Amino acid sequence: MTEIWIVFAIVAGVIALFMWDRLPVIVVCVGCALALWATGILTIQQSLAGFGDPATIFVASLFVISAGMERSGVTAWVGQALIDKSGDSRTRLIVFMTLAVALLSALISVNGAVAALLPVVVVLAVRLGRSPGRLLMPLVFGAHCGSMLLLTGTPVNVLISDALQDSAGRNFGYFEFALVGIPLVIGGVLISVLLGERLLPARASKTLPSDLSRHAHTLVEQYQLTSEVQWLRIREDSPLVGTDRGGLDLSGREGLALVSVRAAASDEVVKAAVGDALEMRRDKLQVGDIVVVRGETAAVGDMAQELGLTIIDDVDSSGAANRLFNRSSALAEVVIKPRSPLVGERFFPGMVTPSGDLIVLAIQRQGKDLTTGEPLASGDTLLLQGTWEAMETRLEPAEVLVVDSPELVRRQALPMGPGAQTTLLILGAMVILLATGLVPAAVAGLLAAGAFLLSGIMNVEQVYRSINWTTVILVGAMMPLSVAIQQTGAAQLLAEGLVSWVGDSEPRVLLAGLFVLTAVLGQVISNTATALIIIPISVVTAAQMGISPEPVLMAVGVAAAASFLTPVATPTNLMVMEPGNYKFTDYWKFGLPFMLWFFVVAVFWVPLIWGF
Amino acid sequence: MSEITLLFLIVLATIAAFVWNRLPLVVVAMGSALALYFTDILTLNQILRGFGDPVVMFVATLFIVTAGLEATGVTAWIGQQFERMVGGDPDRLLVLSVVAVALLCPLINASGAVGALMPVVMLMVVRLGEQPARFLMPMAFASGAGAHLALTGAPKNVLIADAAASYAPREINFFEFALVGIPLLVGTIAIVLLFGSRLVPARTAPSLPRDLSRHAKTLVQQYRLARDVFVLVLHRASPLVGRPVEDLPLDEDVRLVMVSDPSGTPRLQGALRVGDKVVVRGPPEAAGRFAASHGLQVREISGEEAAGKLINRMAGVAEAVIPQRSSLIGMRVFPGMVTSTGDLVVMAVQRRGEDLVGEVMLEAGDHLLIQGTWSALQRHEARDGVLIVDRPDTVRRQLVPLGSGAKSVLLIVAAMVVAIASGAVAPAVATVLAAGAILVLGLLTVDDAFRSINWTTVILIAAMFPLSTALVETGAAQLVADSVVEMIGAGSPRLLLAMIFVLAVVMGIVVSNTATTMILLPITVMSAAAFGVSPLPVLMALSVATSASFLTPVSTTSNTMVMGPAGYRFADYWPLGLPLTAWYFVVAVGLVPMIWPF
Repeated sequence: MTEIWIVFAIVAGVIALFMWDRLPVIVVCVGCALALWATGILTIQQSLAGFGDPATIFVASLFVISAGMERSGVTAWVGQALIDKSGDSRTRLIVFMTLAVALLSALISVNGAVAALLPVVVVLAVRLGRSPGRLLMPLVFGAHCGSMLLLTGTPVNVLISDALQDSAGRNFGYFEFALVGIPLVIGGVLISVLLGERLLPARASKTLPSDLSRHAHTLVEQYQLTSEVQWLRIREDSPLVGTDRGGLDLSGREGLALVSVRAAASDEVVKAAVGDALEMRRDKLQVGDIVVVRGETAAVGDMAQELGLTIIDDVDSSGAANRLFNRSSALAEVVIKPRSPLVGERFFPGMVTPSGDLIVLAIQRQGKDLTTGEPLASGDTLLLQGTWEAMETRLEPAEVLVVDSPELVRRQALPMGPGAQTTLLILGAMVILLATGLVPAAVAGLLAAGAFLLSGIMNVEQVYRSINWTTVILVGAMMPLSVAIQQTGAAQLLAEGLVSWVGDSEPRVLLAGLFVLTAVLGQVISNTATALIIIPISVVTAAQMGISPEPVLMAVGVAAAASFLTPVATPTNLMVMEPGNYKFTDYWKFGLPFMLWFFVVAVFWVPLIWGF
Repeated sequence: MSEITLLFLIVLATIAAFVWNRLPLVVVAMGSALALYFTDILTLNQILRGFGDPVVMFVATLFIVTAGLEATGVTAWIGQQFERMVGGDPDRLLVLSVVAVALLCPLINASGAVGALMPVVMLMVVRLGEQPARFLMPMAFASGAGAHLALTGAPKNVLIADAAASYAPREINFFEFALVGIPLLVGTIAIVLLFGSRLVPARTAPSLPRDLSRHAKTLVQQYRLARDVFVLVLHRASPLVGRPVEDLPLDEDVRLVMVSDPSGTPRLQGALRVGDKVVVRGPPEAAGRFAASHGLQVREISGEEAAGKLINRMAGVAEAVIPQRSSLIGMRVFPGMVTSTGDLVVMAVQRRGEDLVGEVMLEAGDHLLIQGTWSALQRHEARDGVLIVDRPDTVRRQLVPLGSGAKSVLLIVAAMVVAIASGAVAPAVATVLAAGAILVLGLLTVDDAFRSINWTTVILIAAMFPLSTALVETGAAQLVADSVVEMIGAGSPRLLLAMIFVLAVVMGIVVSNTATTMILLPITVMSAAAFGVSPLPVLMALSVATSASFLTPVSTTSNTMVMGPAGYRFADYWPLGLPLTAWYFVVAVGLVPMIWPF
């Protein structure tokens, strides 16, 4: 009996510390695990066992997959599609936005989906002349609805699926969640469309997240690249046909610089750089290949005539942007640092950097082009072009400061970047593995994460950085608490109380009670932590009442996803607070209808699908 | 195919993949664990259990403790002491780092010692203009000898002592390990000094820490802060005492650089007090006139002193560059201006390396020197519209020895060492508590803590656990051991020591030395009994052998830890590792029976 009270004391302490919110979350969680050990309830092995639990490993691997999709531009593509499809209609925009964020969050969890679409939605709001406040809360709440579509939507789904495995010997299937997820999403869309105008504030936002989706255009305009860069196609009669790509040498021509050579009908830029002949592909130039040159129109015309090239003149600002900025060609703006070794060097547009794989497209000083031949000074800005890989590895931190990190730009501005197809393949394979249940979820997650590493979409460092360790440690460290609640009989005690309270009335009353308990806790502490505390209680209660644990666990899952009433309920609620210029009280006004709908689904819809 | 055959195939494939070295280590390690699952040798829960093992927790949290030492400037302080002792001689650095790691081993164990000293040595290496490859491997190898300096040197020592207590006529004392530990350490130093430069390949480290030790002086030079700069100290009689800082009446020729209280913290608002320092720039006569008319005491300062004023325990400086399209372009600034946030001061503005005087409109490419407390600088580091040249945090770590919080961290580490050494709590619990204390006291942010953990090491250890489990559970280890005993037959007992040594070293290549010890312990004790010899020398030989993990980067955690920073490849370890292993062999087979007779 004393053990039970110790467990209750630990639970109360953990909840209090979470609400106090002064200690780091991981300190509270790991402290909770240690407390279970120190009080002799669990052995040290047991109190750390959560870190080796398949559910923990699966949650960690999901972060890797989410980051892989972001990095390869799949999420940017969804954002782009959203901008293209939504048009001017508000209803259409909200419907598409909610569906997009719901689907994304089902695949890569709420945090990933909201972080990916937040800048896009802000841009849309600005472009349509709407207040971002009218769109951002529907975005986040739509993501909460969508997290119930698939097993991968939130760590809570993994936990309740696991709990079902332990208590009833079967999992919730990968797509089985959609049976509640679809009604939740439909309800969410309707609430946003019908009540959004009335319940959401239309305040102008003070700070907007930086939008890099039009980064390339910004750069092209800043450096006036449209007029200077010419695109030349190789004709049949050109003397260049059949010569080595690397043999193309413009260094003898005054005022002209080679930017890149592009194979015909292919996106692949073949690096062709002055003085870098050895590095180049040994392929021959062919008819239709495109030579990109920077220089004065007259000089380019002369060269075109001489070498049998046709000038392509359909290059407007966006054309230039697209051509310099795509899967294989990146742009980066760098500033010369004070005391940089480059100060005093003479650089000119078109030259190749000493590292050999970046090309200087332009040099500006105080917003104006630098006169050719002038030595570099600290504070000068260079626009560089090269492969994405070169951008990420070659920029020397001792010499320059990068204005916008290539990784960030790539994530936001490059839809379907390099590796996007592989990413989709890996994702597809993982979904199949999860849906068929061929291997346990953790194995599928690990295989997918390994595939990202092996295919080079992410390196080991990026994988570690992509994992939200706080969540992983929270799951791992709180799991023993779940075990302890069950083992010591604390769950039993609570369950008996619940059962006697429900009495002879319907089991739905139990669902309602559990929903309220979970939802209330979920507004102040993390959903995952809530689920870990409530799950053992609900399983034991179901057993006591002699009903199936399926509807009970699913109702808990729905309730845990219902984080609508405060900005601190989830990190994503907080994420939109500033850009949407929301106040604390704005959340419950719009959140209440959502909460009611979740309640209806959890208490009345769930038992229809998973019978008691 | 039997389980044991499959298992041997997996072990071979894992070693082959490690040797091939084209796949990330974590992929190979996790792959080998998954292979055990797919071949049904272990269950899913068994292959993942390693992640919840206390050893993994211990290693991960130890990284946080080490980072705490670094963040508060303790490492910088040790580095300064080190630097004094080394005095620019690479050989001395080599010997000192080997000895220091060995001595720290019994206190904070091998990975802790290597983890704590690595940043220091890296910095020293940069200052000496050398490559870390020459120094880091000997350091990692020193942990083998260090493990033998005391009972707490390595977890496996406890296992050995435990076995001795149950099977041998007497127990092994706390410092008895040192009887072999000292010869091992001396031999290691000799081998490293004699052959180190020839046998350790000259690899280039992928990234070296920036040496910022002269940063303050560099900034003083860049912004010409030492020329015509005067410190004016407020007298008790000065009419300025009690006036708000903003109201400081300045002459035309005299420009304000900063106002600070006597401890060096910038005073941005509020009343001036006695003892406050007003730093101004201007011609000496003008400064003198200004001082005389306001009752201030003039002190000229040197570049050294100016540097000390810029960067101290409380406050520091950051350089910021204005990029194109920044929202700050067009803003009016002047030296001495307090930023809109109210906690930073603009000290100087430069355009293309030239000082700008008076109020100016910012343009793209201008750089500003900004002063404030460290916490204010860190808070505004990520502000939009400026690029920070050197992260304030990095500067602070290297430049401020024993900064604020250093005492707390040292106390925490001392408590941790005592807790581990006295055996009051399990090592993992001690490190978790220490890491928790560091986070709770705010000496390290949670993000920095996660960044400080070397996840490859953590995952590698966790993911290789199942392989040792499988070796024991399938009986594969037993099989190998049995055939060894059979092979020796009726030879000399030293032959048994030699066989056990070779076996332990071979197994130790892939299996952790704790696991190797666990697998070989029963065999060792049993064969000693069968031979009718005392188990003490046999156990000691096993202990020496399991410390001889020098052949690959995956042999021990400390070997893995130095791999990335030094830029070693998989096959770089054995050339230096082989002579060391030979020395350990001589000690185990030759010296051990002399100290602990059969």
